[in-house]
Amino acid sequence: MNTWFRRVWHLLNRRRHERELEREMREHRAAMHDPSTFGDTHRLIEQSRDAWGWNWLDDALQDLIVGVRTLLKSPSFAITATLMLTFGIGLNVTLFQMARVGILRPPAIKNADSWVRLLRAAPNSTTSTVPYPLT
Amino acid sequence: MPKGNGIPPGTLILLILRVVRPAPLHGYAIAQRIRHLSSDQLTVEEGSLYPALQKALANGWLRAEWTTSETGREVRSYRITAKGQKQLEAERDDYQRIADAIATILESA
Repeated sequence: MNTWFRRVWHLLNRRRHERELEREMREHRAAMHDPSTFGDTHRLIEQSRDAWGWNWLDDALQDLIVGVRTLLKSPSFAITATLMLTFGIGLNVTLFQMARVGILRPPAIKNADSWVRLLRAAPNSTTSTVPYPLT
Repeated sequence: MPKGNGIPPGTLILLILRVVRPAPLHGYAIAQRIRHLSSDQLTVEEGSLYPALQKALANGWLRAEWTTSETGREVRSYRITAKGQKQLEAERDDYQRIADAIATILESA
């Protein structure tokens, strides 16, 4: 069983694992001559949690919850921010799409190499309006 | 994280792996064993023991299982794994190398 799998498994069963750890610590405390020297169970469980390397996930979840609650608390700010983001992103996407069609994408033509441009040149004028017969 | 009394930083896992190698032990017994084997020179505080045990579990060096102790209580025993054996050898070598290096410096003129 590799380390990543074990860590994910621990995360999925964290409640059960931590209950077991708590029970284990309770037994340990009961076996001691002077149980008062045993540290605080909850602090120890938190420190043990660090060993599994999921702190970043807990932190991220907490940040997310705080963010959502802040937004819910001040709806006007939330709406303004959403509108500005919507407008900003929309404008960007539109402009980029236009640039892509106009500049970046090769024209949608079959056999572009076979195209020719006809010019008519006279001693003092050049024009690209050249009549030609349609076969 | 508070370190065990007298135990050099980073060597707690080495000691834990070593004392559970002959036979599985529970947390309290691991602390006792380390203290007795060191003639009371080294004491492991629970504050360092449990995080270290969890680290060993997370890395697959130990496996835990609920058993009944000789006094009839339900305890969670830690058994060393094959990976743990390898880790023990590696950490023991590292420790030996560093201890030799320090000794060489201390004995130099």
